[in-house]
Amino acid sequence: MRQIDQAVPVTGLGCLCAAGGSVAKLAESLFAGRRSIGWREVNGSRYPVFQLDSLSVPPGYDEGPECKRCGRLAIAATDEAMTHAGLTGEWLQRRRVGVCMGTTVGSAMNNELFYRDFRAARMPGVEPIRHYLQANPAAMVAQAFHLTGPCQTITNACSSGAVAIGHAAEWLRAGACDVVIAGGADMLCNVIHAGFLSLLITDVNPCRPFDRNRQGLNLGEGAGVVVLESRQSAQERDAPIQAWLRGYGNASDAYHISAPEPNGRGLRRAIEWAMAHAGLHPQEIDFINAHGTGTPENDRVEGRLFPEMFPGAPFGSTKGFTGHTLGAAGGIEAVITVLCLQQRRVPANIGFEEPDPDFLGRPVVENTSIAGKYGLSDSAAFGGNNAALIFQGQS
Amino acid sequence: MTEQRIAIAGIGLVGGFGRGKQAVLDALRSGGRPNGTVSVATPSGQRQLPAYQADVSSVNQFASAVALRRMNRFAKMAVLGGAMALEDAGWSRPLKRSDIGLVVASGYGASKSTFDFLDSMIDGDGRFPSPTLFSNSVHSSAASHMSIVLELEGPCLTVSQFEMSTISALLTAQQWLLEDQVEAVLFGAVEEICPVLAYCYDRFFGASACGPIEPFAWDKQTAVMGEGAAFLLLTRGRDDSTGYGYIDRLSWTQSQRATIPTDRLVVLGADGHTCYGAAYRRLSESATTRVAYTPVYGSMPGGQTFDVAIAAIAAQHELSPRQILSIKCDADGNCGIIECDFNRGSHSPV
Repeated sequence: MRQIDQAVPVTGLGCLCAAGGSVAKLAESLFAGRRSIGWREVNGSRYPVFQLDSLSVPPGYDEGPECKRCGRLAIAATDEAMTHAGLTGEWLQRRRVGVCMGTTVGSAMNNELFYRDFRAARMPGVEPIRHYLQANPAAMVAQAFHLTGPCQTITNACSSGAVAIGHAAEWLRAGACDVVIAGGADMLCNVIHAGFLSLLITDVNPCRPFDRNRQGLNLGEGAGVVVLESRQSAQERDAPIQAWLRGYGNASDAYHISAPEPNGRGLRRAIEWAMAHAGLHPQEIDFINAHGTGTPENDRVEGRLFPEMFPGAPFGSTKGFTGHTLGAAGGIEAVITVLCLQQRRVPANIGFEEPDPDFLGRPVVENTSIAGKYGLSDSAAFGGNNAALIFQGQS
Repeated sequence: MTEQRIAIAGIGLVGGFGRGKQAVLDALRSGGRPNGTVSVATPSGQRQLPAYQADVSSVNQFASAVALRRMNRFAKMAVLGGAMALEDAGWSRPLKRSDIGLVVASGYGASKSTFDFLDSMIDGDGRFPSPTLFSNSVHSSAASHMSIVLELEGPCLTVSQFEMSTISALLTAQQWLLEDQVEAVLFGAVEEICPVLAYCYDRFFGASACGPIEPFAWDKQTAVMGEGAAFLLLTRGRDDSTGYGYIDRLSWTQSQRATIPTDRLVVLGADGHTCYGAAYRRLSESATTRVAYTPVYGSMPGGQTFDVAIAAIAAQHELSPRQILSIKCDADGNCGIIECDFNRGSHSPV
């Protein structure tokens, strides 16, 4: 893997999740150490979930077809990111603007009511299918903003959002686009919740990433979007540059359909490739925004790997604020990583109390100052896909 | 539009036509037809819909019984197609390679497992859903199984963009090669027929769901469900591994704006759906020669990968011109164009 000397400007950020309905509100919650946890009853048990508050819910979210919620979240985050980037409709119509969006729920046809009727031979109407065919998140964003460039919904499970950002940068380097809207979006959904319960990897308490007593993840919903722009385009319109995407790596464990490779082989490779792309040495990384789901297996891999690869670098998970938003996680955490670089501090790893003796290091336990030069955000997915993004701050 | 060429070093195909190149050639010569039926409940009783169905039994040549134990049919099609493409290119296993990328495009994903998981939820009153079915219902499960069975440790991508799945995923595969991120990309599309899909065909299209596919009858609904996997082993083609020739140019555009050169065979992805008929009609008007391979493999969103693979095989056997333009349209007015030149193929015929 060689260095790719084309850093890509990040010119806009947009985000909505349980920790805030906008980037500003998200930042406020993170550094105030404030989290908002809801509860959802599944099979007679209550589980913590990180859902949007009523003020943050995008228009049409509750009233419209459920399968379009991911797309609506993506549109809301894109709207904020475009405004932040200073992109207007008229300017966009004259440019090649692509959309690269990660999701998990947003591409699955899992309408329970329709299926119950179908299997009971009640001959359900096909309106839910029509809605599903109109619910592709990347296509919904493209249609909402009249964008005509390439459109890609990435379904790499929980690394989808990070992978979408990495590939969006590739499209820019290839000259296929001037601007790419990239990130991830996912919603809370009963079927997916049941799936995670079946895997026995959810915690009945608020999640505790990297804690010795962690029991699993809590699901969340939201979207995180960045505007990536070619250097030429950003220069021509004198765009405000929030950060630079410097490196990206994507690698497979080739190990198991639902468990991570215990030694983090694939994750290490993804990080090494991102570092090689960026041409950086480990000591130059100021902090790591970990995947940190709170599951025993995931956190064990990261808790061992980070202190070994980046000795002394602060690391932490923000899933204690957002929950695990699946395909959106990489997008939301990319936004958080840029925020941390801008504010030159990282938030405390909320939920962590007791160090795990199995790890070589421990996550940040309080808001921690950083130099604000380079931040790494990693994502790991079901089936062993791993992704790493490296952002460079403006400082 | 991106213009740097990438080479096709190997092809693996499984579908209603059978598996492998000879099966494709036989289907091309015979015109192709559905090879099975799917039963669907209708208000007036059970009905049999024609379908192009893949036989995945030969996947055990490439994967151990242990690996296959928890693999669904969707993933088996993908593993079979991918392994055949590697074999076709002469790449023997074990690979254990991190310099091969894997890209899987699918319009509908592992929908059968998604509904099977719902069955396990409903049957157990929500209490005992199957973790295996859940793991296999995730869109990326096919790519995960492929990475495990074929020992591919490089970058991996699953794309779900309905009819535009192939072109958008191919843009990424091309860039991985051009940036020297990998030595090769195993690229493919996989689609699966499931009972819900058959039900939808019946409800949406009624009597028209029986085909046969008439790709150029623009205003007539003639689509017939298809499933299968089509994989291409893509390289930079800087040595003699070009195999079938090259993908020269990729373009994502609007069908209204697309211009079609007159010197190439136009391979239309027209698969009997009237919602794309007008776009294909317009695009084919300026084509000197046109063809559609959908009657060989059926109607499916990821069909454009089949088109490129079949065109490459057809050109190699002098059944069609060597310079082609593959076009796939969607209902939103988008259009994916893949320009290929199969002139430099040095692969031995079957």
